[in-house]
Amino acid sequence: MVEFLRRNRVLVSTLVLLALGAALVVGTVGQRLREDRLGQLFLELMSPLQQATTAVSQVLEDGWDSVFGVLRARGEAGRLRERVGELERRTSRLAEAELENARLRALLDFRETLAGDLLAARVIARDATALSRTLTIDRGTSDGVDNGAAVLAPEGIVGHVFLASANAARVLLITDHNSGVDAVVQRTRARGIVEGTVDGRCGLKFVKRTEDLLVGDPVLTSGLDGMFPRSTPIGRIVMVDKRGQGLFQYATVEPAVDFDRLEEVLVARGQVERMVEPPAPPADEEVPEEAVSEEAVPFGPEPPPGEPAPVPYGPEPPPSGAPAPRGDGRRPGEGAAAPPTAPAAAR
Amino acid sequence: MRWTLASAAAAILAMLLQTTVLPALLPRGFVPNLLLVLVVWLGLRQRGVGGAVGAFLLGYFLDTFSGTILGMNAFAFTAVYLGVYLVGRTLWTEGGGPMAVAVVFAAALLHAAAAVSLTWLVEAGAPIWHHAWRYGLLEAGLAALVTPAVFVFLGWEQRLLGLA
Repeated sequence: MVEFLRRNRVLVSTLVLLALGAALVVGTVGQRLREDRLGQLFLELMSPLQQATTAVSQVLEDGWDSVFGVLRARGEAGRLRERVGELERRTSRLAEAELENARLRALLDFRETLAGDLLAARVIARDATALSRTLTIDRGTSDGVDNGAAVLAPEGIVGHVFLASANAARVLLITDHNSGVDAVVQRTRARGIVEGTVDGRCGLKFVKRTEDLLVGDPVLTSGLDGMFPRSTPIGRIVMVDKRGQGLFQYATVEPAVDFDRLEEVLVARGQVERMVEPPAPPADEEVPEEAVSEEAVPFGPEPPPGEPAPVPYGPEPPPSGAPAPRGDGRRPGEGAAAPPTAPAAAR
Repeated sequence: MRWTLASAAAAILAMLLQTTVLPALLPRGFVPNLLLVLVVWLGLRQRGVGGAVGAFLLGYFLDTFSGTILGMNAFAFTAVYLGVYLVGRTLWTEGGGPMAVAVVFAAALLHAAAAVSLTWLVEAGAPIWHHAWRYGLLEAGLAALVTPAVFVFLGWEQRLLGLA
């Protein structure tokens, strides 16, 4: 028996310990309070160590959190940057859509004021050089757009089609120096021709000197050229030039349409008539005196000091002593008294 | 005596890690049972009555800091020691190699089974088997994961104390 126990002492002791463990369990299960001297000793021995280790582990935890926090923040920053980029792109698209919506709504409102066959078109290209002022639109002969078709925008007239292919057309803007539109000053009904100038504006020509032109006067289409609908805005007079002594005066006109920002236009297919008159200009606009000039000035740049002043533009001056005749306000190469009703298409 | 000191020091360190450091660093429920690995190590290296008593005391030690039923881990660790002792008669493990990892994994399952069986017996059929199965697998996996490191540390400690 003793020999058996000695040989199997590990097994026997383990079984005894198992029984002891089971007895402990049976003895303590269901007890709400535990009477455990050895456990209290363990607890007492371990508590200061646990306190110290907890303090250390707190530092470790903070460091661990910091490291992970930095890594997490870095990842999150990357994600947020992507998100911001995505939102910025979306916002940009929305803003673009909103602006386009507003433009198209304005175009539609404008369309309602006209009677005739009008087609919306998108500007797809601008002039390849700075010398001339043209646009390319995405409508062509397959859409019924032919040469000579009037091109309009909600703010006013744009120009006319001068070259149409099947699916695109080029538009000569009214600011191009080859363009000319029969016009009327809204307030006085004075008639003239609006032509493009090299500086991107328009000039109102062939208006009788006796006509009263003021800065701010709206200039409209007369409709007599058979191309643009009557009473459609062209622009406003920004300077009146009565220099020279010819029959006509000259006025600089700021176009109503901002051609640099034009994106959508209406193209007339056939004759178009305006159903609603544009509103009259405000009556309290003041005319700056410097905008109206009646002094004869030499044509061309200022002469250098010491050199004789160039001859004023116009007929040759009479011999000394006699009053110098004044120019008629036209520029070199312009015809001498073209009739005010000259059709633009004739140019 | 040195064996006892080495085991006690390792047990205290394991308990400190298990109750203070690791819970602060790891997600809840993912703290490995280092004392269990220590019991397996005892079963493989300290094959005698001292080892069995050590396993029982380690379980008692764990009971002091875990759960409310005194003796449950003492019983379970003793059962683990017994199992490892019986396996150790035929298997030889060195360091924290794959065999030791496998033994620890099996021992952890045995520990869970023993603890749950005892609880089930004394608490009149409490429905804890489903929970115990998942808990046992998780504990076994975590214990197996840390086994190489624990065995390396214990080997170093033994060399330090001139026991190896």
